[in-house]
Amino acid sequence: MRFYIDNKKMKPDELIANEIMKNLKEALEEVTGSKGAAKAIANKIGKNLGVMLAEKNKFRTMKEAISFLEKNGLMTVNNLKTGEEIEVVAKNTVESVPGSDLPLCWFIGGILSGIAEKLESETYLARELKCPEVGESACRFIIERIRI
Amino acid sequence: MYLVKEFVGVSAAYLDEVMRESTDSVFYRVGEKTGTSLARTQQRECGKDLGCYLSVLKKSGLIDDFEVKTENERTLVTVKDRDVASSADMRSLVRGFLAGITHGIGKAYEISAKMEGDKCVFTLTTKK
Repeated sequence: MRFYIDNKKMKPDELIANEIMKNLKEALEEVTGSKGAAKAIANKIGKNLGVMLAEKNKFRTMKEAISFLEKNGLMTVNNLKTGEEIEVVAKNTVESVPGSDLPLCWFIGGILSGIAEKLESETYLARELKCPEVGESACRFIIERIRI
Repeated sequence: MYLVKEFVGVSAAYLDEVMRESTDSVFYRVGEKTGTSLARTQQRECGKDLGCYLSVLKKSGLIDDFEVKTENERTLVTVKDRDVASSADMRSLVRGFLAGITHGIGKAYEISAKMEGDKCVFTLTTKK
């Protein structure tokens, strides 16, 4: 599953969602004293939210789930390819923070892997490869099925 | 609506489960930083109108409704939201948000929270 995410100018109410996510990441980092631990917790929170949303809204496909996330302003998806590997090209994620030195989309990655887990009844893990905050023009994730 | 309330609810539930210490201070800090940032970006539009900043919070989906009343040296902010009234983490988040906003617009208040059924009343008293 791949995500390419661009930055955008935010509306005030969107800023609230963005700031809460950003500030929670920072608070988690302060509390745990580790960026890795904060990222793992943020991912798990995202995953729990993804599972909850999939259960509550009874998504049958990833396309349906993505459409729900778009309607709620979490991101805009330009392209979605499903199969063994699902590829998503997305812009305007609510988690994007231009100018931050933190890698982004810890929560969004978790949400998508949580939805994938609920849809497929298998374990998924989000891996963030690139993001605008470290000089890339887009964010890129791989959401992999974990075979145990 | 950005699913902010769902996000905070799931975060609070998970952090309450894994953290040994109270999570109130984490959510207070998150609210305070968010409020400070909003005060900075919305100052031209909202000036010193607390209700204007709270309406942004409502529009984001974090709170259902609110009312602001000023009496003598204190301001009462009633947040009409069952989730805020029933969750210590949500109350801390909103209390921190009010602290960040008021600090951002140059006012210093002591802020307390009191539950009243499905509502939560935040009392802002001018610091002496």
